Amino acid sequence: MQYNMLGATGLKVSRLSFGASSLSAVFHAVDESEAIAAVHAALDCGINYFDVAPAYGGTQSETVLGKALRGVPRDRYFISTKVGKYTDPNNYGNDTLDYSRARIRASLDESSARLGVEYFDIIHIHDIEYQNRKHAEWALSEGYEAVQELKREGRIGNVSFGIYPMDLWKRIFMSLDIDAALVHNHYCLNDTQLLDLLPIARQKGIGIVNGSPFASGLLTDRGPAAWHPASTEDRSRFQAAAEFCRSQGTSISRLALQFSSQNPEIPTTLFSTSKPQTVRHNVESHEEPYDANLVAEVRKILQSVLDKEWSY
Amino acid sequence: MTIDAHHHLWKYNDRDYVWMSDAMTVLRRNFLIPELEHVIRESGVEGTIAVQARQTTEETAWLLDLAARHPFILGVVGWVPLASPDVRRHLEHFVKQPKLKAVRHVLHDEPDDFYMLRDDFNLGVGALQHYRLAYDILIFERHLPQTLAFVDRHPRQIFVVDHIAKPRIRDGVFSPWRERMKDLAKRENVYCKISGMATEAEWKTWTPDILRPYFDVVLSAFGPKRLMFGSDWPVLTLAGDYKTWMNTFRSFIGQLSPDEQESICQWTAIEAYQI
Repeated sequence: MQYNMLGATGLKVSRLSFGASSLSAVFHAVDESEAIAAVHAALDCGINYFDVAPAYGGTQSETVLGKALRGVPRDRYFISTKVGKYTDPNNYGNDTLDYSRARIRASLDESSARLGVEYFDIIHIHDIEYQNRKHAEWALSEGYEAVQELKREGRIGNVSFGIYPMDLWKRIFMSLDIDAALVHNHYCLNDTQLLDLLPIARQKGIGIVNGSPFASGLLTDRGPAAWHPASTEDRSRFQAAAEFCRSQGTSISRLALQFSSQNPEIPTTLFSTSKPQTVRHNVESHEEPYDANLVAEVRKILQSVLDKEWSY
Repeated sequence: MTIDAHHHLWKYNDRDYVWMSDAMTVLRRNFLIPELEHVIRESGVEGTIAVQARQTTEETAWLLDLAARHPFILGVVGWVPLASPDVRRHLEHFVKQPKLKAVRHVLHDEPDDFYMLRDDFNLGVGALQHYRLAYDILIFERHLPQTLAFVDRHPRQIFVVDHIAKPRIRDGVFSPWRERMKDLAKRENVYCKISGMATEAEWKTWTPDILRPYFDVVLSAFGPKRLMFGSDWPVLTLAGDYKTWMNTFRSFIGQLSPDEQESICQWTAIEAYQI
């Protein structure tokens, strides 16, 4: 495993990092002991950065990650969680967005208790564009100030957002003082808009965390979940790309992970799984350089959906 | 651009520089900005990192003040009392000045060879990461075993080993320094400075060929992405002038690719010290 400096945060993170969303049953049923084994497999592979959120599985991912990290010395890993978005595990989409100072402070305490972690290396302000952006300005003002305050108090090391829309990212990069940025679905086989942020990230020392190398399931043989906003026509392009990869003796997900995680300008790429064998498989895929011709062919097949904005 | 990631500056007095032995009388005078600027210009160095030499917070404040007034000083490796319960207060104070990039303690002059394993000292080192400060490790090769244990107590902290851990070049000895440096280099959070080599050899008679095998060891152990160039001026002047060392260094890296040369000349320092 190779390691990169995450912008100017001082954190030297593994090029592949572990996203804990799959540790809860957001996507499918999860065997807890297997999920814990997946976290340990990640540590064994040299992964030293873990990201989670209270919103994943209605806090369940934090609970499972906390169990997995119990007994692992705190100085063996970096960890981030998120604030502002809370979910109801029994009612998908019924989210609460709360970017008030009081909720953010309470949220951090709750995450601390679930994870057994006192200090967070990064806090991402989560999904501020949800619900048609009606709370975005709140998050960018009170929410942002509250997280900066936690940094001044020494409870957290670095301030970040974890969002999707490029226009919001550009505004945040230009106008706020952030240390890191969890950008998802913008550096994968079907979308490379993250590249637009790199010059200013370099200039301001913002550490980019690249999320969702499989484009929320679009770049897998199985395809995305039913809730994904992609149309039938769009889905068929991804299916064609997956089929092409199979015909070339590889898989779309292998190529997708390789492509997302091998850009030297992007310090780290998150992937999520609840299976230890998938962790090892992904690390092994990551370490094999991708076939640039194959990437070019796949992007040709995906032409009509390249850089397409989905409303997540 | 070439960055000199290790030099000192001082206004000499008898009290603060006790490490200058009688053999070092040429160092017992002022070494200040105009002279530094002259020697680095002659060698094509455009940026520097100024490093503490006398373990006082006054010196840290002085170096930071010089760095604030001279843009070519890109960063300061200062001293704070790491073993003091007050360490956070000192760090809070100094990090207001963005040119503080790292902290160093003169470990190799501590009477206790295991000072780096003391709990009070480690509490201080443990505080550095929150302030995004690196720690410069100043040791002799005999300290390497305990240095491995020390860095393993802080796997998330960025460390920079000064002067390739001062091997016994004068005695022509490689082992066990070579094996221990390879072991140390397995830690991704540890970087190494190519500096201070000539002064570990015979000051009057060293040649590049004598130093070269030691360079080759750290090159293969750390790779260009975790090696940086430093002069250790004015201590360097005991064994030669700035230009001679620069030419020696350039001859060492001459066979590397342009990218690898750039890494050693600037990018590693920029990364490790968050310049």
